[in-house]
Amino acid sequence: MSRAVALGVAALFGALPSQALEVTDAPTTSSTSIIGSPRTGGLEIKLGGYKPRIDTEEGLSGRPYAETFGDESMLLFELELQRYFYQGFGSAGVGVSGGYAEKYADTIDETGEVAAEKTALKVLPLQIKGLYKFDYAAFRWGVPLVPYGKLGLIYTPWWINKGSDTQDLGDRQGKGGRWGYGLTLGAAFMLDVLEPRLARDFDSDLGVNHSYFFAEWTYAEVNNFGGSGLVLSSRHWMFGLALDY
Amino acid sequence: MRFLLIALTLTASAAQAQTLTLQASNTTGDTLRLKADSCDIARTINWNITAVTNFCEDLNFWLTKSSSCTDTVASGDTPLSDSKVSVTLLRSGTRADDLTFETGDLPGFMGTGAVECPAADREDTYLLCGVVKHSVGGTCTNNDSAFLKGSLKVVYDSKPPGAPEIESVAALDKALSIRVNAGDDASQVRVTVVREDGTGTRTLLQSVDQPLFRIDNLENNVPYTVTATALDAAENESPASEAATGTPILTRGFFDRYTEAGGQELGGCGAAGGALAGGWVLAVLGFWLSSRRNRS
Repeated sequence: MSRAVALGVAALFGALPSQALEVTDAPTTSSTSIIGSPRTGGLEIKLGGYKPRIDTEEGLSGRPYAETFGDESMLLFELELQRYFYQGFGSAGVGVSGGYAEKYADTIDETGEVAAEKTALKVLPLQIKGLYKFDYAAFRWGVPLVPYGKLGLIYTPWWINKGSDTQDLGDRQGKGGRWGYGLTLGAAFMLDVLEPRLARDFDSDLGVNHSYFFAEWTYAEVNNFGGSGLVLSSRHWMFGLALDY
Repeated sequence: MRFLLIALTLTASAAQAQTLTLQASNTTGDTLRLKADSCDIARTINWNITAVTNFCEDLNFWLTKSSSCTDTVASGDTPLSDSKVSVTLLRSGTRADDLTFETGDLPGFMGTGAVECPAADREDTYLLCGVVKHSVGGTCTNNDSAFLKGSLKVVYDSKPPGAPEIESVAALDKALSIRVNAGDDASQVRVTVVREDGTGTRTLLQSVDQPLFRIDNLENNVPYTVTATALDAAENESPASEAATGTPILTRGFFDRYTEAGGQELGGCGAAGGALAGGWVLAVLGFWLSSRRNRS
């Protein structure tokens, strides 16, 4: 996880000097938005480390997630679609997102030795959310950083496999779904300033108004709002590419 | 003008290929493989002629050891006289039908130097030929006619593939995972698992493209003997591989460890979960339709 954060931060800061070099001859983004196609929504593709806080469940006598999966994060891939309903002093709208992550580990036998069979935890976080992006400064004054926030309702289907099948234990089913909510804070770097002409072509050819590289941090509580059972809450970073269309 | 019409007619007729095809029933591809224990079983072959109308002679079929079909039956070939189609029938519109032959009709089992059918440990290749003489220019003279030929490769295969090798047997929970290597001449592998006391035989047949076998519903802590055999395309079965042993064991995965640690999760999505998942799909669809409407 720390490696992923470092990579994302390095990429973000690596892009900043380019912006400083290019901004002088770049047309303002406000003019781009005036001559560009209508802007109605956004698309985000992102990756990040997701570590469910399963071991924080009340009453657990051990750390089953850490003992099984080595306390490591899963690689979470997410796709998000957004729709803007307000564009003025920033942009506000709603979004839906879906992601997928899985983690495999060896099973153990009765003596604690590693067995040939694999066990896995798989999650599919789905979210509907409200969002606000402070892009006024970007469009008005050409500041290429857009801070934003999102608040959403989360439903996360999950599966636990042993071998190739979902593992049931007596009356317990090895699959289910957990409700929760999540708050996300992030900042997006507008890539248009690096290649303004390419950005204009992207808009006129494909209808993509702006593109961004972004980093965001999510505080998610996914435990059926305090109910008993699996805690799929997390505090995680995601990095990705965003497109306004 | 007349020459132009003739030229156009000839061009048009040349565009449609003249073929005589032979295809074995219930098989795919251009080869019929016959195994050892089937000497008197009738094999049905479908034949079909396209784009030929001016037939000169009967349609003849025969089996040959040669690598190509000649114009007429040669010495050592086995004519399939019962399947001959008269030129009268051909001219009256018969362009497709079935013919049958038995494995014992193959030239290797008939005439001088023949061996008795069934013959062990052989792999002999023959051709089933279908040949008919037809007119090219309007008459059936030698200078004005041609032989239309079709063939089907028939392989008498009584040679079993080599014994496969059991590469590994992995112990799973109430199951065994078995990896088997088979030779190039094998098309399928059969794995047999037997309890050490000789009871409870289980078998699984898979293509050689799937070398990993999983046998489920076994008993933990009971040793099982594992053997494998390979089958070729003619279903000849190889000798059994060297026996291997495997003992299923109880394994503990994440759900076991979570439950043992006192985890309260019982699983189950419930109706609300399904509704949300459905709603999410509808929302995505709505977004997509909305953006399409804006573009148009």
